[in-house]
Amino acid sequence: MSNRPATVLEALRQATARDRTLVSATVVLAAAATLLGLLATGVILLGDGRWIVLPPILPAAILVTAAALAAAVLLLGWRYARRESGTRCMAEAVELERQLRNGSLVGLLELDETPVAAMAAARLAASVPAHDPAPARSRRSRRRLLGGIALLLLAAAGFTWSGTQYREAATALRHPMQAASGALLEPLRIDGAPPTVRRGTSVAITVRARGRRSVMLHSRIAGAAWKAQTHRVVNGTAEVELGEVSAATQLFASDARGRTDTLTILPADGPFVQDLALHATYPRYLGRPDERLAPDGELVVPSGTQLRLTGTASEALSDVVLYDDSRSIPFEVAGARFSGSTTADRSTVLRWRIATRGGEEVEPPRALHIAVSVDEPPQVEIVTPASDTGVVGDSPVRVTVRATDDHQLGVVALTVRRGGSEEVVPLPVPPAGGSAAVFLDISSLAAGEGVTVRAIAAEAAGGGRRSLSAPRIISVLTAAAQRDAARLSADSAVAAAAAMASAQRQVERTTTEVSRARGDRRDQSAGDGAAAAGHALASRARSIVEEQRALSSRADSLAAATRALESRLSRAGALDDGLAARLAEVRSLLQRALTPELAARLRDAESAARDDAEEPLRRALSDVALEQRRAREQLERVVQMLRRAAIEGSLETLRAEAAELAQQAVGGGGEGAPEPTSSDRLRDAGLATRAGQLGRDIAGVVRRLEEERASAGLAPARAAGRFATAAGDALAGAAASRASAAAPLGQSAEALAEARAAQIAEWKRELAADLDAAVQELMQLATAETELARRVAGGSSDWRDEHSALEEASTVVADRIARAARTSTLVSSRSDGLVRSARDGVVRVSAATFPPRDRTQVSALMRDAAASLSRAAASLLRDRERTNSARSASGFAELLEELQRLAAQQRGLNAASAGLPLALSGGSQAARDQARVLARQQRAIARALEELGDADGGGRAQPLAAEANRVADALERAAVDASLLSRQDRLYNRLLQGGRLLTGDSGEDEDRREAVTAQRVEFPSQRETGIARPGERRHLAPGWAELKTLTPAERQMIIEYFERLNGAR
Amino acid sequence: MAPGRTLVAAVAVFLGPAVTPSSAQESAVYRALELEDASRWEEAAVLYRAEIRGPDAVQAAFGLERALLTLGRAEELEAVLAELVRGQDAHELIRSMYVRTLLRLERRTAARVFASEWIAARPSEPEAYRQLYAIAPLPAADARGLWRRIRSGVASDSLRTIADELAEHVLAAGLWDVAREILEDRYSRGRDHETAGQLALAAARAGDVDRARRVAADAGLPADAPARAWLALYSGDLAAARSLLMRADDADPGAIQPLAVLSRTRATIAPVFGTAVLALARGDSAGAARGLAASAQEVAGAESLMLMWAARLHAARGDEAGAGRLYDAVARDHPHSAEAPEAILEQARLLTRSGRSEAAAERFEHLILTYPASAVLPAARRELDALRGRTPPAS
Repeated sequence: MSNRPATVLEALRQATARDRTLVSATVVLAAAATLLGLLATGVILLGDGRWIVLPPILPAAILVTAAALAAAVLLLGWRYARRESGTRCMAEAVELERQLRNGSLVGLLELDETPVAAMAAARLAASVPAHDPAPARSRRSRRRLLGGIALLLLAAAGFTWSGTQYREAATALRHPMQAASGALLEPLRIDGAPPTVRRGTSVAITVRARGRRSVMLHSRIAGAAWKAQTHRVVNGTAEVELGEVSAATQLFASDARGRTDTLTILPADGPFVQDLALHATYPRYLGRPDERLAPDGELVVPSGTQLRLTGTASEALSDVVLYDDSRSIPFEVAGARFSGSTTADRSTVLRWRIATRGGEEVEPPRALHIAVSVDEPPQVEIVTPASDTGVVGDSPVRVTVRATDDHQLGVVALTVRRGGSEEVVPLPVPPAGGSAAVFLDISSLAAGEGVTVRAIAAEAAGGGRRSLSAPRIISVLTAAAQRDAARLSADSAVAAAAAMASAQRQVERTTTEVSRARGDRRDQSAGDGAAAAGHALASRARSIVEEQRALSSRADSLAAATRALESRLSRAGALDDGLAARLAEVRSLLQRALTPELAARLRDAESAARDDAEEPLRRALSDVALEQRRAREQLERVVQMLRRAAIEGSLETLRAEAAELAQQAVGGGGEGAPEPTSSDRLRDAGLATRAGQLGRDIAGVVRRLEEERASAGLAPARAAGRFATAAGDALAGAAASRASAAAPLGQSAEALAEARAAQIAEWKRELAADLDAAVQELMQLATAETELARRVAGGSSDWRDEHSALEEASTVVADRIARAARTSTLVSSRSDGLVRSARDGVVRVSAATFPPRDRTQVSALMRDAAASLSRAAASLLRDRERTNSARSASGFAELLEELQRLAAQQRGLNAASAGLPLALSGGSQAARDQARVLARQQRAIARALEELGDADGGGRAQPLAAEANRVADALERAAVDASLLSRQDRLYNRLLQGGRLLTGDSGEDEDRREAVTAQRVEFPSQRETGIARPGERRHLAPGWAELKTLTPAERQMIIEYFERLNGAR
Repeated sequence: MAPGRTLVAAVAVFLGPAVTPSSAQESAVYRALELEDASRWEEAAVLYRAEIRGPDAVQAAFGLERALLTLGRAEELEAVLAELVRGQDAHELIRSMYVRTLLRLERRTAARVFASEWIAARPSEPEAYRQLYAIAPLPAADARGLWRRIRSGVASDSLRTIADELAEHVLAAGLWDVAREILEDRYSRGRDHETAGQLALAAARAGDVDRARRVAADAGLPADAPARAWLALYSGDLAAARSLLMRADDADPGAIQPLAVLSRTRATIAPVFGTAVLALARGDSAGAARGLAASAQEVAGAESLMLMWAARLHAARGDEAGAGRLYDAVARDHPHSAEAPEAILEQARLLTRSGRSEAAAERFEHLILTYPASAVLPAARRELDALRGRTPPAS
């Protein structure tokens, strides 16, 4: 009985023991697999160098975590095994698998060894086999064991693979404490960092960082903040380019675990030269003291100058040599000092070669550029007269001598040769670059006689070498020679003016180019490049300013030449009102060409150049260019005026010559006359020569007329030439020919007068035609512009093509008026400006498409342009009207006379104002009314002056108009007091001297005036002076042409005298 | 001062005491102005619109006008203003703004109707009349009627100004009779040289030259008065007209052609020419053209200009045949005159319009070759190119 139950229970226990073994093994395997799997994952995580950059604790943490998790798996598995692998669980499993009644086996276990249990066991023995009572459970346990084995194998494989793949990570896991402290890898190292380098040298270093993926390199210039850069490590090293070292540089490398020591790279300078000095000892004969010169750049020294050079280097020297292509000059060396000398006997470039005791080459100082100046003989020239000259009268002649020497002048003198005798006139030695003058007495010379003068200059030093100037012949002119001289003066004035205009154009172009050139500046990076560009610009600006100032002084000379021409024409009897006015206008234009504005702009540019401020300098140059353009335009007008004046002057002088010859020819010969004496024949021969010369001179004028396309004067001038030639032929022929030559000579004179008059009329006609055409074209353009405006406002969009034709047309008109304005002041500056402004208005319409505007705006712009065109036309019509009434082609004479007329009106007004009670504002109503009447008259004068201001081309009458308006204002306010009367008086005087105001002559209030030989003054019979009422005048006062050389006080006195004279009658 | 405050101050000064810089700083209008300053037009418009019925209505309306027009929303502005002007108490500036907006939208009829209603509702407001005659030139009858309403409706202190303005308006429109009526009334109330001058010109141009002379004489017009110059010209006294017209205002385009004639001729008397100029002033361009052509011989030196002037008048009237005859005469008989290039250009244009392309091209080429310095050349070249583009090549 006891066996059977014991058997069932025994079988149950044995099965339970087997199952527990299997489960326990499975748990152990799972724990091991967990441990290995986690370790493998940790290795992968830390692999590829990540362990260095990740937190140092991580390897240890991974290790601990893996162990803990494995232990946990073990513990949990153990508990599971205990719970699931008990006898009771096995009994339940058997019940289930053997389909026994629930509790049949479990209850047996509880009854254990009791008889009942034995009985029950016996009953169950048949149902429960002794071997493997629960086969399904056994199979499950075995499968789990196999799974655990497989898992362990997998984890082991992973662990093995990761360990081989990331060996350094496995090592870090194996030695977590060493990994955390950084002792696991070999330390970082910087190779190739020299302790010192030559300043500016580029340095490259190598960072040894085995086992790292990257490394940080920290660097700084001493005193500055650290900068860090990450560098990739390839094959255990990182190559780093530090760049040029120009200051002490510190650096170290680091990774997450450690860093290298800080290294310092110090820059070192090479040896250099300092305190280089140059002493020049000049040849004794020059008498120049020794001096210290700058030892760089270009040296200009006289030949034979001893040059002594001393200097000090930063290190002890072994060798110092100054050399050029053909020689070497060794220097004495004492430690770091050196010295030596050479003689400047030829121009050369001497370079340095300096070596230190260590054999290192010292950076050489700049080469010495030596330019040897040879001792030149003195330079001497006669400045005035600039060429052989003829003079009139017996006034002393001023001779100016300019003498210079490269060292020192000893003597300057003038030799005057007359006939066979020679006189030496000593002159004071002029200062450097200056001149000396002397007045030559020519009172003993007869007409046609002359003296030859030469200037002598001798140097003070050396051999006292002498130089002689070119000779100048100064002769007293005959009337014919004076006329020739006048013509030559005119030609040279034209040539000088043309050359000046051309030079002005050139300097204007240069200024414009310099002010606009910007390309180079942008290409410069910064610093030295930009500064160099700035210096270059400043240098060019200074050169432009100098050039322009030189031109300005030439303009003064040209004005003087014009004044001389006027004087010559006057002495030659060829100066009439019109021609005088034209020359006066030339002077006026010249003065206007060089305005105070231009001078101010030049000063601005100079100042900006001094400051080296590039942008302000460009702006200043741009302003200069603008003023230069105005100056150039005025100069072009001068050229044109002078050309015409020269032609007029030539025609007039030739007419005078022809008339004089005709008069002399009338005096003798003819049929029935006594047989000519030898003296008569000599005089006839002289007349024939002069007549022939007259014919040739007229031919010259004809050529000039042809060149100027002055067609109106051409035919009469040609006829005059034919008459003169015929007269010359007649005089050169038979004895009785003198009288027969008189008629053609007279005809020649008449033809020349006709040529001049016709030409002046032609020039006026040309001007009128230009004005007429311009007015009509402007009106037509205004109409077309208005029509376009209407169409655009109506929605039309195809106007651009048509408008571009209008734009082109407006430019044609503006150019035409600008051309006309160059030839005559009858085209006022106001009109010129209005036409240009109208053209700009038309151009603005085209520009209105960029950016696009709406049609209303475009239409409005077109209407504005049309209005501008109409205004310009109206202004030109006034000029046209003035042209009609002008007697000269230039209109200048009328301008002067109008000023004189206004002066007379102002005088009457002054007298009436003086009759008003002072402090009028509190006076009677009648007096106030009278003041208002006078104010209206004053206003009328102001208005007339404003119109003159428009016409004078430079607006010079405008200040007078403004003052007249101010006086009128005061009269209207009845503010009559002493100051008002004084202002009126000043205004009168300014009007009286208005001619000089317009011609630009200076020294208005000075009493000194040009003295000329007394000549017969022909008062014009019909001149209006405006002094007395027409009809009351009995004696006509002289006009401006006669009065202009007098002082204002003298002029006033003469006019008042005539006024009293007429009043008395 | 900040730009915004500057703008506020400017607007405040412009609009009078309603807005002062100090009070404006707190107002919505002030904020809107600042938004305008920052070019935030949308937001400014919203603020203005919110204020448009408030105490700062006028300022808000001006601001709204600026903002909406800048945004190109004139229609929206019109709608807002239409709402405002429906009220009887709408400010006259807002009413004027409404008329202006209607004109901007090219709704002239609506503008005219509104202005007429405005006059009917408020006959004493001068601004209402101003708006009406600014809309478009009025026919003579309307202008006369308007003048009568002004005379009866507007207070005497404003009457002078409005009369002057209406007179200028009708003078510019060439309504000489109406102008004369207004100026006679104006002259009877106060004599000054300006009115006398205008009246004299209006009377002359209305056909009553004697009255014009009487007015000029009675008023003692100064010697340089433009009216005297014109009266001298109308009577053919060129000598007097020349010196006077030369002093005339540059901006008077009507004086330029007569001045051009006067500057070319030395004739002193030319009655036919004077009559022609008067006819032109009266608007009788046909009579003027005939007169100018007939008087060409009267003003020696300016014949070509007279013919060309007459031709232009014919052309302006659409009488191409009449114009063409005169162009031919100028081109043929005055080839060296300043007008010749223009005459040939116009000949060519006439030929082009009549379809005679080859003849037109010949004229253009003649012009280009004969007058290379003329300013009409660019137009001639352009038109010749266009013509050649459609002229078949010569066989």
